[in-house]
Amino acid sequence: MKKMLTAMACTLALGTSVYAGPPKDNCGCGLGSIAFEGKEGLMSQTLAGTTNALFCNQLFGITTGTLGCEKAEEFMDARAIIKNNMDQLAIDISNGNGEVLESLATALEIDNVDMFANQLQDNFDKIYTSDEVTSEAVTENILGVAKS
Amino acid sequence: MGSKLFTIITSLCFTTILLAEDITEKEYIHVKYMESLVKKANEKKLYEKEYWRIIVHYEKNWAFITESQVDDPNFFMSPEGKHNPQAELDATIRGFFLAPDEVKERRDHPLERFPLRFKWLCKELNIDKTKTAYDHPKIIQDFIDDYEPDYIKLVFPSAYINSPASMFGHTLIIIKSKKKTDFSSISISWAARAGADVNSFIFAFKGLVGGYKGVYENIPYYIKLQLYSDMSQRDIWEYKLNFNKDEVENLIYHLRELEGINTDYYFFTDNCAYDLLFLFEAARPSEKMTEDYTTHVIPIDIVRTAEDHHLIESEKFRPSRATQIQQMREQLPPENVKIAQDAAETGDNTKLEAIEDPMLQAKTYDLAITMLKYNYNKRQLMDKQTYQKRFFALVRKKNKLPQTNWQYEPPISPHKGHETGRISYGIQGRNNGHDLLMFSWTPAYHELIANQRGYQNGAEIQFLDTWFSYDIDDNEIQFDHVDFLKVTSLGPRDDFFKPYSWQAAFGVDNEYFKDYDDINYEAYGQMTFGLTYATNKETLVYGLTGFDARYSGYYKDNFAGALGGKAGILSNLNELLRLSIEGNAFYYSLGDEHGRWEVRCDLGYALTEDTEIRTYLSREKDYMGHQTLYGLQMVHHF
Repeated sequence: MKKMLTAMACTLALGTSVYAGPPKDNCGCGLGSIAFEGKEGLMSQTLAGTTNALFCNQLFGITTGTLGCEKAEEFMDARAIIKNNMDQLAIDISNGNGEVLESLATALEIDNVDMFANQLQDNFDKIYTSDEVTSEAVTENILGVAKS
Repeated sequence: MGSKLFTIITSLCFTTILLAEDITEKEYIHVKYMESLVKKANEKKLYEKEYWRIIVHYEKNWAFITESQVDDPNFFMSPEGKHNPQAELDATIRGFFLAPDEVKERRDHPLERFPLRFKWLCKELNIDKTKTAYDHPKIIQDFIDDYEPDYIKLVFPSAYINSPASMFGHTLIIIKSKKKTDFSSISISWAARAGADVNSFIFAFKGLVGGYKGVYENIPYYIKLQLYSDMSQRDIWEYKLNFNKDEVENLIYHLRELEGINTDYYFFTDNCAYDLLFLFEAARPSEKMTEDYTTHVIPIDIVRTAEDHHLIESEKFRPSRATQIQQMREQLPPENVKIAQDAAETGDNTKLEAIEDPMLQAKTYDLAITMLKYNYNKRQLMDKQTYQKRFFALVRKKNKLPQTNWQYEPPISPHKGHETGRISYGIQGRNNGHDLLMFSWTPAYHELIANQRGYQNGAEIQFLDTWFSYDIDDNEIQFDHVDFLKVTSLGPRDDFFKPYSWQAAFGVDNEYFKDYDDINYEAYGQMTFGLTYATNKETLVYGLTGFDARYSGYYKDNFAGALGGKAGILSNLNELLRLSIEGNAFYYSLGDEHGRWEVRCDLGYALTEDTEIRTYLSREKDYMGHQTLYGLQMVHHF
């Protein structure tokens, strides 16, 4: 009851994001490096409690590429898309199309999206090797398929 | 003579010190050229120009004094900047000549912090950029070169039934990159900084009275979508704006100027939505949008304004998971809907696997998967292991089935619904009292009886609904009643969706203790819960039960408290005609013991999008006795 009333009141007052805690100052590495990581093998994360990681005072740090990053990672944007859309990506791959799939193809600079979609669909079980597959493993598997 | 000289010398010193503060405290380059530009700017009276007003957000306040809508001192180059456009302009020009050594990092330099002011002033004054501290704002330009902005989208997450307050909604923008999809582009929205009291009444209360500061945040759109904890329920509207390349650049430049700038959060003035209008005006100054608003801006009004000013090129509807489920169900045979739901709820896919037609099977799998996700994300009906197991069991099989393409029918866009404010006038007849003329005003938002176009059926939120009456015989105007807040959520239940319905209201009501022509008042609060069912797409049947409390000096113990309930029918007889029949009864056993009931019928007819005519008939037993009321009202939304 209390939870519902609080929720009502909060929703009433705000339709917007809320953060506790201070914002990050140096966001130069960009948001590609941020992922909502749940536990190992978690397919779908709940995002409550992880929003503070994103609160950055700078609007326009470098958002793509590796400028300003200490640890440059290949395919940072693609990794972030995969990590943060695990469920919907699996659904898109199984259907051979979809927004997440298209965004991933764009991030990997793949022109022939249909061929990419077919490749992933054919290799579904090689990508999602078990029900408890981790997001890291899925990422590596997809990148493996993409590179081939 | 001596004291006069002393005064002159002291004032001269004082003035010199004041002037000196501006310049000699910090080091500037090309000072003579800088001052010549300041002189030229003042000769041309640039501080009076419309574009300067827009980009520093100057407006006339309630006392007709010019001041910037922004409070944060970091937004101004001059300590007087908030109130003095001229001082701000002079200080801004000087800022471009601040020696680079004077700032810790390049991004803190005024030229970097105010790229739109730099761009505009360079054009107006033909500034020689070889003489300014830098020749261009590198930080923002590097971003633009790297990101390749294409177009801007205005995004509006619309209301959903169990949160009528979500009708107020929220607005954010997407900056689409040529190198990304909409989905993976950045979204810019306003975020409040709440500190430790997130998720408490203190938080809600402070938000109402302006206790929080907020800034803009930059988050990939796909993450922002997930951050709406009610994502499963909320449809999203995306409106593509028709800004050209230069306009998009100016908008981004202005966002950079607002980066990290704190805005005080006031629920009612909702600066976060209002700021967007300044962004749009900075992009397209020929469209005057900020002038349309004074005290409050509800986010959906931003969409209306954008349309009125011809900024919207196209709209896209992004259905919530709940909407997807509802529409998928309509497109599948009932037995397939049942198969999908059973599979989602039990994990037993035998019946799914037995479906013969491959396309029908694929679609049924889609529904099962969507229901499973809804049950997990929104209802948290299972643990993660169970979810993963069921999820993969469905998706691995789906992988081998034909591709499906669902077409989702968008409802009418929320910005095409009636306007948010309302006034009404009409007559009320009473069987045992004088006839009255009735007038009402409310700043927001939507009543159950109002035409539902663009709104959710069964959702209501009314704020400061204020009524006055004019007694024709006594020739007397009096305050009649006010609902400070009334919120209703009648979400229909079915096999899959099982929301609770509720209503909360408090305000000052009229009451009669001696004579039906002698009005008195009572404070009241009411809260009820219950269930609603949809007998068809147009009709809701509901029942609620709860408590009601009344306070008035006329009551024994000044108070009456009741348990009771209400039941009713809400129906769209056709697109324009809406019917409400409701009965309620409350027995006040606490305080001044008495019972009350009411049976009421309302009929509303929409003459235009924003005009309605309504009639009602009510029979009630109140504190004093019985009354029959009937009336006719003209309603205007504005």
